[in-house]
Amino acid sequence: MSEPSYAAGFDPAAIPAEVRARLRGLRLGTRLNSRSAGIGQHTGHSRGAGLEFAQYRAYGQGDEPRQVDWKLFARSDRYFVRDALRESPLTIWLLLDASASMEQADAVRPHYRKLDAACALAACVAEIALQQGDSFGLAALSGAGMQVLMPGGGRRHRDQLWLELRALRHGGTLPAETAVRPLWERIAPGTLVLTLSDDFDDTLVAFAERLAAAGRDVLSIGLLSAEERDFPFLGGHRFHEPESGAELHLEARGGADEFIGRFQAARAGLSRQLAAAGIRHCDHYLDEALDAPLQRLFRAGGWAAPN
Amino acid sequence: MLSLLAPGALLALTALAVPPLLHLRRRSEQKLVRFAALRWLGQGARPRSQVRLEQRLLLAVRLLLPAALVFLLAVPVWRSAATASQPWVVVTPGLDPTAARAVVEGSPTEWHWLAPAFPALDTAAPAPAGEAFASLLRQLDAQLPPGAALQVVVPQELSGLDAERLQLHRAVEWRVVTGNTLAPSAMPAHTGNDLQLTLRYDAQHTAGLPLVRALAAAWRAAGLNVTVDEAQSDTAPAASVDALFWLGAELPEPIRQWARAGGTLIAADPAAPEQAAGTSDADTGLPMPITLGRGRLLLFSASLDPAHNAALRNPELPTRLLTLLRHDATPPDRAPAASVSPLRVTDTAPNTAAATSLDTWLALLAALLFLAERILSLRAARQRT
Repeated sequence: MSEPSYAAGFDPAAIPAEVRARLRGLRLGTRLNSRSAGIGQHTGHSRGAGLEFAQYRAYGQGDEPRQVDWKLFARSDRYFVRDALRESPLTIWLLLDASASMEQADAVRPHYRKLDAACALAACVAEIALQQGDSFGLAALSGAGMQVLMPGGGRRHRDQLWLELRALRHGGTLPAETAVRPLWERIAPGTLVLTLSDDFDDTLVAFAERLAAAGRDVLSIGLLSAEERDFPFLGGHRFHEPESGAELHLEARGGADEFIGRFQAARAGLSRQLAAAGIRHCDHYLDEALDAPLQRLFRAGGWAAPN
Repeated sequence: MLSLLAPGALLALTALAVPPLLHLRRRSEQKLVRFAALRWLGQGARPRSQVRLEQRLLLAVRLLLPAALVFLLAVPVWRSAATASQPWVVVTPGLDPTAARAVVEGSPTEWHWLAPAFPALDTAAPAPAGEAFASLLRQLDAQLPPGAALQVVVPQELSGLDAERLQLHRAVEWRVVTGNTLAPSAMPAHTGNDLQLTLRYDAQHTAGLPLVRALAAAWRAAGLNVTVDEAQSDTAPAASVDALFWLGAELPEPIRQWARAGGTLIAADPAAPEQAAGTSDADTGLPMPITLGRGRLLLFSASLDPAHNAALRNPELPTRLLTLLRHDATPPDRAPAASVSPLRVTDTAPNTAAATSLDTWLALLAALLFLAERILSLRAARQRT
């Protein structure tokens, strides 16, 4: 087991310009109604003053007289009040897996680890949220425990997120479920939760399932290396699993097909499991464009932007 | 035809087991890969235990290099097969070539004199080398190809033999030319009864005089005709004198010159260290003769006074000294040729017949292999990094 270490080395400049440009076409959204108070861009749970007509309802004590639809009163001789949907801001929690398994990179690009991709994706999502005026928070889980940035909005908060990502503690194994429990109180119902993990650890998957079951809109991006997809190894190799320290000596040539079959089956099983829990999931391979999973989740995915 | 002069060196070929071991060992140095998805890697795909060698070309070169070195140690020689079956005839120098051709059977093509370098029979006859006869024949036996037949034409009486009976590694046809005896070697033969002694002394060393006189008396009593020339001087006697006794402090130059010219000098030098006086014969106590020019010197380490020299008190002294004086110690080296025809031995002797050494070529090959090994090894190392 490797010791947790600092300095993931996230650099916001690492997000390519074309990716940054493509982000503008994306909109974050939730299938649930946002329960957060305030004025935002998302369909809110509460009705009240707003532009979008919701319904007529009978006048009750406490309603302001200017809300009464006088034309309808003239027709029907009853007091009706126009109700409008209030548009609420959205809160996005970025749940980042920073365990040792996320330190894996492809041999062709040895300095671009899964963790780097996860940080870049988190920064991308924060960028979109900033455009939409939504607030975003970060919870990074690693062997060193939990690193939490409470949700907030604005450019200063984005800079703060960058700082957190830059000084990210990573390595080790994911903390036990009890250590993650404080997150329960902070991730409010109705928020959007995006997990960035390789999903090799069942702890985070179970946590995501519980969040989804408890009324949070959970999305999941599985980060996988191209080697895990293609298994391009030839000859004898010593495969080292960084979290448990287990090693396996393998003649890679013969095991490729078997591994690819098993691995794809496992991923498909995970995908079904998450879908059953109501979690939208897609995999992101390290040799893909950075915004590809975001495009899949937020553009073509189940949720369409309200306008 | 390729043959090895030191086939025992081939045992070093066991060193060839090392390079394959090296190339096997590298197998276990597997590449370390950080791989988080380990749990989906099958246990069934364990590395196969079959023997695998990496970098076969490099291994081949690494096998060839020690093989070449071992082969070099085994001293390989190349013998041209063309000369293998040429029958040889050697003729002892001093014989008439035509008489020699008459006694040889068949029609051999190689006719040579039995002389150093074995000149052809057509060339002028070399001087007879009596004492080298046996030695030359052994040399020829070693040089000729193993299958080559050999005929030796010898006179009736052979000289130049030594203590060992001739043993050759081939069947030798021994052709004796009858009626032709070589002149005996010019060796002084003391067959007569005359013995001329000369006694020279100076005034201070007269203690040895009775000894010489007693020796002369003893030899006379044995039936020899002994004449003694006594004089207190340092003048040399005539060359025909058999022995000169010198009683004095140190050898005068005329007497030393006389001994160098071929005489036998008997002297004593108490001051001379033991090794300068020559080693003594363990049985007789007499000094071994020292070669002095063409003559001999018997140098006693003690004075010739029997009171001081135990060797002189030996009753056997006259007999033994006479033996020394009369050259009887020379071993016999002459025999009728028919009685000393060579024996045949069957053990495999080192044969150097017309062999071309392959050392240079093998060393060159080894150097090239070494170069190739270095290049391949460097390339492999670069590929690994």
